[in-house]
Formats: sequence, structure tokens, C-alpha cells
Amino acid sequence: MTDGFFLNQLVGLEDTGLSTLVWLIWLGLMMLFLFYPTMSQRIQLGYMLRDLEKKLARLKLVKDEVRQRTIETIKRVGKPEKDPTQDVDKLMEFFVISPEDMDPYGIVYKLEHVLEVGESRFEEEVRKISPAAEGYKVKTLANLLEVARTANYLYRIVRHYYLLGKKTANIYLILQLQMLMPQLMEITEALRLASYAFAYGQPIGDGIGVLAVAKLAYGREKARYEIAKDTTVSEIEFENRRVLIVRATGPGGTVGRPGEGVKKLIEREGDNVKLVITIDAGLRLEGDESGKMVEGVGVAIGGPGVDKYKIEEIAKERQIPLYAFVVYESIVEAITPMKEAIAKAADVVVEKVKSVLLEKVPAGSTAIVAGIGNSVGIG
Amino acid sequence: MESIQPSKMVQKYVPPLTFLTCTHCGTENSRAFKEDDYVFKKTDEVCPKCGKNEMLIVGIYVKEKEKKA
Repeated sequence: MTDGFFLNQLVGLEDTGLSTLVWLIWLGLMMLFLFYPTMSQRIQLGYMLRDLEKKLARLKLVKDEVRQRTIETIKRVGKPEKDPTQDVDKLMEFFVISPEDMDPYGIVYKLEHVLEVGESRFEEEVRKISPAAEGYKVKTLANLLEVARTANYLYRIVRHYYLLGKKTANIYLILQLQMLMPQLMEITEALRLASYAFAYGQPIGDGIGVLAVAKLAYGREKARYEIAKDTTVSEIEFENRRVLIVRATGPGGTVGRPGEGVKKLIEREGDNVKLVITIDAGLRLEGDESGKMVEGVGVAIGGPGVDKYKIEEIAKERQIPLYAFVVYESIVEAITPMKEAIAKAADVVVEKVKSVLLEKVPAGSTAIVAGIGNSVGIG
Repeated sequence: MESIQPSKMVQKYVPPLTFLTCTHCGTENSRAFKEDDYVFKKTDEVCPKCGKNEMLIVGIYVKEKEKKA
């Protein structure tokens, strides 16, 4: 009696050479999983690594595409004497080290200093490689390089965890990376589309705050001046109320320094300021409608928090109420060319701001309206 | 590294339109975006209705397809 015959008798099969072979393979696999329990994990890890490999290849494609578009745009707009490729590659590795926060006292101003130095240095470098570009275009080119830098950073981070997970065969590391990949791929695609917007100077979704205040000021402007770096104030008169409109100076790509601008205006105007309104793009949740305007209180400013802190600090000191309007959009919509639904929300915001000014600001007083966001493509 | 078919993931870039208003007769017009266009820029383009050559850019955005009811 053979082993195969015995096994086949157990399950009622006829003894053929093939069935014996199948049983032996089956037994072999059972033994393998018994004595090597991480086998299934290894197989799963292999599948996940292959999936990540494909996505990493896509990230590299996007990073290279954005880099190439940046180089071509600098050649077209900046007309450098020598090939800017090496300089672009150098700037794609540029970094800013955030200040030490073990002792948090004064951290906001330290952070502001570091960010300002970083921004100026980055802009200087872009200006050097784009001698023929006008001032506002240098800012947009700096934004384009920021996009290329972010795409490069994202690619390097994903590659780091992929290689680390592969080297150490750490399924938990790879699992976490794989779970994050759909969002990272979405951001990568957004960066690719953002590179078109900055290459041609088109308004992006994040510029909705700037667009809304530009519409509010248009045709009513009595004076216009710079209050802080890349930040403009437009003074208008609305129904016997003085309105100081703060925004980033367009049409170049910059967010300006709205916090510093509002702070200086309040210090200058003293108790005349009765209200501060901020308007910004806000990240919508899945299921929310893009371009929907919502209102609340507080300071509607994203980013590292320096501008928000400055406005909150002085508003609290002077007991000035803070109103905020936010236009919903996704992270992709915020950095890609502005969509119709978002652009049209600007008119809704303007009407709402007007009614709040009438309702909350006494005649003869002053209000500050700050449009927050990137001013690319908005003059 | 394995190459992939990007078509499944790639979002197509849709260039925005530039919307202009004639400063004389208020006629609204749109065209494809051109480099150096920006919102509130006065251009010397000719109004298709009154023929005056001063139009104001009032919007630059990606036109969305109308949703079916």
C-alpha cells in the first residue's frame, strides 16, 4: 500500500499518479506554513512592494515632468545666459530648518525670521537664473520651483520608506506607506497640475480670498500702498465706512504678509478699527460642495501660523472682533487652476462682506478686510 | 523599476478661459487663456459688439461641464 493510496482512500479518490502528486504538494505546503509561519506575510509583503514600486515609478515620472517644465519655463521667461538645469536641481534640494522649540518662548518670531530668510534667499536665487523676468514673474517662477521642490521631496520620502521597508522586510512599515499612498498620489497629481498654473501665471483655487477682495476694491479704490513685503492695502469708502483692504500684491505668485499688514494698520489706526474680516480658501471635507461659502469667527489663515498669531494677538489686545469667511475647496483644487464654482464664490463673498460691514461697523468707523491666499494671476 | 501605464492615474490638464468685459458697452466675451493675462488687466482687444478696443479681464477660470439634472 502506497502513501498516495492511503490518502486517496481517506477522501474516496482513485489512486492515480497525479492525485498523489497533488496531495504531496498540499502536504508540503502545510508543513511549510507550519514550520515557517511568516511565509504568508512574506507573500503579502511581496504584493505590497510591487504595488508601491508602481506608484513610486509614477511619482518619479511626475517629479521629472515638473522639473522639466520648470527648466523650460525659466528658459522661456527668464532667458538665462547659461543652462539653468544645474541651478534648478540645486534649488530642488533647498531646505529651511525650523527653529528649536524646546523653549517655546518667542518661537513665532523665530519661525517668522527663518521663513523670511528662506523666502528671500530662494527668490534671490530665482532672480539670478531669470535675468529677463519682470519682478512679479520672478515670484511666480519661485512658486513654480517650490512646486518642483515639493514633488521632489515627496518622491524622496516615499522612496526612503519603500527602500527601508524592503531592506528590513518590515510589513508594518510598508503597510502604513501603502495606506497613505492614495492621498500622496492625489497630492502628486495636484502638484503636476499646479506646475501648469505657475508656469503660465494662472489664478489658482487658493487665490479666492485675494480675488474676492480685489472685486470688493475694484472701482472704489481711493488709495493704494504697500504695507509690508508683497502686501498691498487698498483704501475704499463703503456707505460712510472706511474699509482697508489687505491682500498679497499681484499678479505675481505670493501670499504676502497679511499678518504684518493687519498688525501695522491696527497700530496706525488705533481704536477706529471696529472689525477685522479674513477671507480664505478652506479645505472641504469629502461630500462637501466646492465653492460653498461658510462664515464664522476667528482668523482664516493657513500656513505656518505666524500671520494668524499676529492678528489674534493684536485683536485680543484691542478687543476687536474677528470675522472669517471660508470658501470650501479640496487640496487639489487649492493649488490647481481655479475652477468656475470657486471663482463664482468670490461674488457671493463680496455681497456677504458688504452686509457684515453695514451690520457690524458703525458709520464713520474703520474695518479691515484681509483677502488671504496666493495672488498669482490676480492684479 | 517597473514602468506603468499612466493613463489610469493621470488627470488631464484643462486650460482655463479668460473672461473679458468691454469697458464701454459692458459686453462679455471669453477666449482661451493667453500668457500674461491676469484678472483686472486692461487689454486693447476689440469688443465684438461696439468695436472699441478696451476690454477688462474680469475672470480666469476653468469652465466646468454643466451637471445633468
